[in-house]
Amino acid sequence: MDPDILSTFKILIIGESSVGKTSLLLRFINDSFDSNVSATIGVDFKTKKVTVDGNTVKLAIWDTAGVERFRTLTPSYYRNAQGAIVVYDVCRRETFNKMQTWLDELDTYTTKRNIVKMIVGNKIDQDSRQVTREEGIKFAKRHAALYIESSAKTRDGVECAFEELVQKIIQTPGLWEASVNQTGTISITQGNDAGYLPKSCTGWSCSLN
Amino acid sequence: MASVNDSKHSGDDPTTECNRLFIKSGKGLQLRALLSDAGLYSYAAICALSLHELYNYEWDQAFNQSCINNLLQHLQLPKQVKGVMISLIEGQGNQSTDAYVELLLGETNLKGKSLLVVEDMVLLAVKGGNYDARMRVLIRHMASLLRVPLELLELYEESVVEFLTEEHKEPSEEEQQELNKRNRGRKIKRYALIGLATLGGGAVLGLTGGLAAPLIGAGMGTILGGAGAAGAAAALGSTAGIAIIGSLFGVAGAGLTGFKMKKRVGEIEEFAFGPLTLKPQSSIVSNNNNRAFITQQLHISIVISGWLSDDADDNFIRPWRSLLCSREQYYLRYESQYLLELGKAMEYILSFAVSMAAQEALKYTILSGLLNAIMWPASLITLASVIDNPWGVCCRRSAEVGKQLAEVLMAREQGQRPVTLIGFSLGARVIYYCLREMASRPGKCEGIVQDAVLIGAPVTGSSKEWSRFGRVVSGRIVNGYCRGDWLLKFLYRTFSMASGVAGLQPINLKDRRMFNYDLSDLVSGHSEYPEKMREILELIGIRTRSLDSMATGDMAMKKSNSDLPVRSKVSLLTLRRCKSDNAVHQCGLDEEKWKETLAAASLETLAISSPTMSTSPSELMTP
Repeated sequence: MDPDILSTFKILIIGESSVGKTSLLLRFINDSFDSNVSATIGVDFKTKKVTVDGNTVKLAIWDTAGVERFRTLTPSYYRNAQGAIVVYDVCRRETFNKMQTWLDELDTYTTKRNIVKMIVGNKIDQDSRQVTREEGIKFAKRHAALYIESSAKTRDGVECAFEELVQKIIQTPGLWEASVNQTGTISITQGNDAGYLPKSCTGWSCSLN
Repeated sequence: MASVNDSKHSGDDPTTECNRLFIKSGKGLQLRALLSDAGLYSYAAICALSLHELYNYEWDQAFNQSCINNLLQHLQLPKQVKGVMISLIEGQGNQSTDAYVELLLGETNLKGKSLLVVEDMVLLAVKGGNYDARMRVLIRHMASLLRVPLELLELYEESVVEFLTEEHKEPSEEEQQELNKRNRGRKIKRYALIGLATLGGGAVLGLTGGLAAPLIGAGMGTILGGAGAAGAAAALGSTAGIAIIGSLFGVAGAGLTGFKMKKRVGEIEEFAFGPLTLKPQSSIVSNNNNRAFITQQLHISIVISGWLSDDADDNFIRPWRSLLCSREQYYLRYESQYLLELGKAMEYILSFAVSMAAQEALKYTILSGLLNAIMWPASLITLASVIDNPWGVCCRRSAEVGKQLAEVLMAREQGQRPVTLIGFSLGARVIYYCLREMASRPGKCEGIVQDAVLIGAPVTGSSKEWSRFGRVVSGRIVNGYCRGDWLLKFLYRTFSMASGVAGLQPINLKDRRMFNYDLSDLVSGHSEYPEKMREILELIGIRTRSLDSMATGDMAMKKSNSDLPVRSKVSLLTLRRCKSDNAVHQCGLDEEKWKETLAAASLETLAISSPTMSTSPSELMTP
């Protein structure tokens, strides 16, 4: 493993169909935008290295299909995810109304109780907004989730969404120490978890090699 | 930095050609049309996850890549799916196949007939003209995931062969050209390898000579039911498809029995293959309707005996009479002179040491901890010279024979299809050295051997040595041992092998392939392996012939029907039936129903069958 990489985070992107999940991902990975992205088949998988607050982490991003017929497959991707980006379309209220269902599903299938959730209201570049920013914030607060509004088309908030998510994951120690454990390269004694600071992580990653 | 795995395109294989034909014919892609994109995706994902589970070594990755590439191309899934599939093969996201299986089985158009998916896999595997052992293991794994009984899978494989070999037709001009082209290159090779004496090999391909062989698949009508089979007609009955058959069934279809040892490895005096499935004395030649007496199958088995107890005609095959691992089975005849000598020596020493077995059994059950060093009775030691010499000779020779066998297999004399090797005692030693030789040739040895079964093997038990076989064997490596095998212990008394003898102990190897079977309860010593072979095979999970079919003497008659008198009839009948109402394709056949079908089928068989009949499905269907 690359010595600079702190850990690998598994990030999920979920939400109703055609709210712009794949577009968000493509904007983040390739900095590109295509208004005619076809519906995702099953799941899309991309990786990217990002540096947040001096910590470099590798993101393994699983972009799931929102289409109904793939719905039964999505839960299988939830396992061991440290972060989830739940997307809705600010111009389509029905996608916002479904958010509760998505969060419920996330809670049901996730294997990590303190998974970091990020709610993203996408497509803010469009005029016909149906869901206000306040509504979104209120909803996110209620579910203890991060909130951001974005536009994959104009690049607004995309980078920010991923960075904030990563930041939050790094700050939640219980989450990603486990991932170090799971690689099987090192076993960590349980007692260390409490009072563990993100800064000291570099020391750990050295022992990984 | 985005690092999305993208792998090289393999565009030059015959598969692309076939794909073109698939599309041209317009009916080859029925399964694809049947499934939704979610279903196709699940299909591919199950395959990818299975690959991850089965082939996780570094050297497997090239195969995994090409396999998934072929499948994605075949299913015409968009490019982005490849990235995911590769991540699944690499084991990222530690997924289980359950969700995919559920989704696939729940596909509305598929109606739970997961057999169609497996059939599709078989066709995909075969159409390149190379049925890779890894592919077969993969398909069997997927079949079990999709809850398709392996019997049905085997029946389908049979049907594909029937379909390939059933009809002959005048070659069209296009085909003739293709044929000429193929022959030019091939003739030289064929003569060099086997000469013309291929008649012993049987099979349509062998009987018609190499020339006609590639034509057999040409212009075939649709015999089989089911969507996948229609695809077979389209894909395999075409010019490109013609190439497949010759390739699958070995050089010009002559196969193993036509093999003549041209180049000797070491000092081997005898090395030949014979068909296992029938009595040598039964009259075969009268069969003039081009029906093979050994039917060509997509999978073959080779069995190897450890010693001979007499010089009767069937001395090599007697222990294996109950074996029904595949419908096409061969035995290896090697160094019979020496093996006979060994057999006599064994008999001699046994007659003097009857009580040894009992003593030994007692030791290992009660006092195993105390008796590490065994005190051999003086009387036995005095007899040692009787057996030590033939044993030493046979050990040396069987190792040589193993290397020769490796050469034969790697030259693909058996065709591009998976082989299962089964042997006991020195036969297991032959297999051991065969695998060892193959393992030393990376790049050439993979995908040939499906399973290797070594029973009472007089070879090292070092897991390091055995671990090399993971590259050669795709399916199972079986070590059957007997803790109380005093004869083997006695023969190895002077060797101080730290790692022990494989025939006496389990191999401590962590690999999904490695299976250890303790046969101590079945056999009390080395000499009992041949007579207890049926029980041993059953324990190991290799199919055996039922007792009554063994009892009813004339095997040749059965041969012309099939090895599996009842079942194969069912195969044909049910495969036919599925065309109309798809009865068998329903997964999870309930037991009762299946039995009823069997019974009904066997009745029908009795009614129709005549000793010499060649059972073509169409004949069976006419009431």
